[in-house]
Amino acid sequence: MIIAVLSGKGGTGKTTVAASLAQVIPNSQYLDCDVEEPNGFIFLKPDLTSTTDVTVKVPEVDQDQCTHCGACARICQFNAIAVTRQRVLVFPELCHHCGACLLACRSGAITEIERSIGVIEQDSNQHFLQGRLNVGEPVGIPIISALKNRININRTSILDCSPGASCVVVKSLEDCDYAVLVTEPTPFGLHDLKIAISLVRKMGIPAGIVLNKASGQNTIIQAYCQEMALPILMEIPFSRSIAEAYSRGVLPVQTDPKWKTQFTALYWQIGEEVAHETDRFCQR
Amino acid sequence: MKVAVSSSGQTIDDPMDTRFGRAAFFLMVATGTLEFMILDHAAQAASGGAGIAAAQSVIDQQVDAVITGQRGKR
Repeated sequence: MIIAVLSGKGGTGKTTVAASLAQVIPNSQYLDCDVEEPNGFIFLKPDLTSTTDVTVKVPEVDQDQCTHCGACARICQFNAIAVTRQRVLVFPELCHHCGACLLACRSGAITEIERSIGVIEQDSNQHFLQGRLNVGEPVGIPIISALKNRININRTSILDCSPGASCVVVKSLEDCDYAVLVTEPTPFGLHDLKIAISLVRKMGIPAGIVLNKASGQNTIIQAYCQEMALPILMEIPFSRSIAEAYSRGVLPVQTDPKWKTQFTALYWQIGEEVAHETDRFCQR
Repeated sequence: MKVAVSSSGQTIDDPMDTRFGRAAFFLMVATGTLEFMILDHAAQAASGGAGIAAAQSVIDQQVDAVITGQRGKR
């Protein structure tokens, strides 16, 4: 089973929930797909033993073969190539590695070379894996693809996604069995949750809500979930002790048996939701 | 001589745009006669590489020189 943890809004508690699930699920895999700023390692404290480069293909121009026709610069949607009267300038850090320039060049002056954009790091038994995109790189998707290639389907994998609903989140969500959406009872939390919900629905991935920083007085998330027929799987109260532990890199499940029980129950509930979804799919 | 000037407007009396990559327009000015042609900067709001696109547009106009203010890091 592959479970994605996402949120829409940043800072709602994705990593708290994803890392807690990884801790309570036996033989789980935790994959930190927030490749621009992975932070699950702070809580799970893995012993990272292997690092693998992730590369993409970027154009290299043979200045002698080039006729300076400008076709490569015109077709590039990312302004990564400029053709001057004397030579062609390539800006690899703007390149989205689509290969259009290679197809557009009629003089065979363009070849592709490998360029490293980041790394994948993991512990020795693949319980913990994270992607790390180099600073300034525009596209994290190749790193997420490389990470997801290491998913072991015989284990339960938890994908800690980026905030937002951009391409990296879409890539992370692909082929997931369930999406856990972590939110908070604020107007921003609700606004971005709606965007995340429309994404998972469009992708046909069943989803449930974890409401973090919950308070008795504010029920905007509950009202929305009722309207949208979304299950609220768990509520985590707005709690100073949880925040203090978090600031020291400690998860609630690591100190409090009550939370260990709650997150184990969350895991079982997700399993049931996925089983129901499979039944519904088979009946169709 | 043909000079590209980054401009905030479409007439020769408009103030210059001090930015190159994010300039609104470029005026291609013939220095002898002050006759000019307006070049829209289509990539002004591009998410990246606006300066490279501006440079490409200006190069394509076969100018001899550029007058502008700040350039980006590329």
